[in-house]
Amino acid sequence: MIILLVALVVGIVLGFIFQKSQFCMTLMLTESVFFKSHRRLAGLILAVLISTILFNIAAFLGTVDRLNLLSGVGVDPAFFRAPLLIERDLVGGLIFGLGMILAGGCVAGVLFRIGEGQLSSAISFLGLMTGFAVAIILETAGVLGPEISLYPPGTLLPQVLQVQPILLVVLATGFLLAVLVALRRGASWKALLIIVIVFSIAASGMHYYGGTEAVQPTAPPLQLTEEQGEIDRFISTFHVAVSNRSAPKAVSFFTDDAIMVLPDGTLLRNVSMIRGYYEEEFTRYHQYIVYGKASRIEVTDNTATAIYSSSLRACTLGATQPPYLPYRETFTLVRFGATWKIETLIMTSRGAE
Amino acid sequence: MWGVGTIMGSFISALTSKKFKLRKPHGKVAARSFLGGLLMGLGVALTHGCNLLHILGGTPLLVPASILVSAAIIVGAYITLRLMLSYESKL
Repeated sequence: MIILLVALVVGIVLGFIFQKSQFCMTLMLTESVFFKSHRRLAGLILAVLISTILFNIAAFLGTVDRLNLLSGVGVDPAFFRAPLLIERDLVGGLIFGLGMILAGGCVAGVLFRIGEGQLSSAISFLGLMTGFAVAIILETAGVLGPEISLYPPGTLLPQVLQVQPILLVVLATGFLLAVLVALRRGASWKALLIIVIVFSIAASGMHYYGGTEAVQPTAPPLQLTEEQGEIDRFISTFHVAVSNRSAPKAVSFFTDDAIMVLPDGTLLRNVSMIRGYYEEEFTRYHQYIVYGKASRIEVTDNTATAIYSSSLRACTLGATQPPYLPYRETFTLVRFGATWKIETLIMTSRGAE
Repeated sequence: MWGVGTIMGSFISALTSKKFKLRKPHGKVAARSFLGGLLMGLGVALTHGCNLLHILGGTPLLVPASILVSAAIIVGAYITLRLMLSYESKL
């Protein structure tokens, strides 16, 4: 309730600011392309750069999780823990860009224009709601296909590039200064393009400079031998199959007489029961993200045991995204030709420890 | 709730600066607005967030998904604008 109230107050303040400044991405881009006036767009770019620097300095100085920085103004940090889904993000973004121009305003623009009394924006808002509904219908029908995520939730750019976040801050500051100086001198767009290219090269160069040591892992990683690494990769592909909500794929990781125990103690005695469980789960939830970190792996010739600290988030589309549920997975694996299969999987709740 | 607040805030702001006026659109504009809104709604549902959250929220926090979405939004809008520009210059 308090969160709703905070969101309402923040919304009113934002609405005030949006209306006064006519803050709208469509307007910024239209002015830039049609009238060659880049003033508004430059303002947005400056805002992004400055907040990049401030956010990262705040995260670097403080002990707060940087994803929680915006929770004070009513933004659910779970939003930023979305995994990278290349096709969905690309197609969704392009469709949004197209819609934004047709509607004559981005979401913020549509909202503040309704407040100004623009009825066409109210119609756009109706369209927006219809779009949500259509997406939910498509998702439920399975038309959108499985989600293939590239990085586990919560992975940030510094971890992907394997650099210290502070290096990115230095880079962003340098970029900001270079752009400001160039604008002061009345630079053409060609000069700006050169600055962008130079800093892109510098950014990709940091990948090698940073190396793997530069990453600050949240927990000490398990040093895996080659055999253990094989098991770890097997379990990760299993987690990906489950996260893609594909019951046949998930089941193919189990032996025919596999046993699975759920956190609440329910026993699934064979592979058809396990299939039934996954099918039910995947129909009930539209988003199902599982990922885990190995805390122990033991391998002998033909069998292996592995213990994983895993997290699960299951939710329906459109619902507020719930936090990740921590639990422990204990796998017993048997060698199956060139690969492995799961013989038992015991899930226990981790919160009780 | 943000949305409701934004409409209210903008309404108050427009009233105080005497800019509030009910404006009715033409049929064609209304249809275009609805189609645009529909596409935006689809995009928001697909990418789990609107342009502001991605561009001013996720990108500064260095979330890879948000950076990709932001780039795609700008490219999509730019292509549409260019198409409109070349279409209008032919008329």
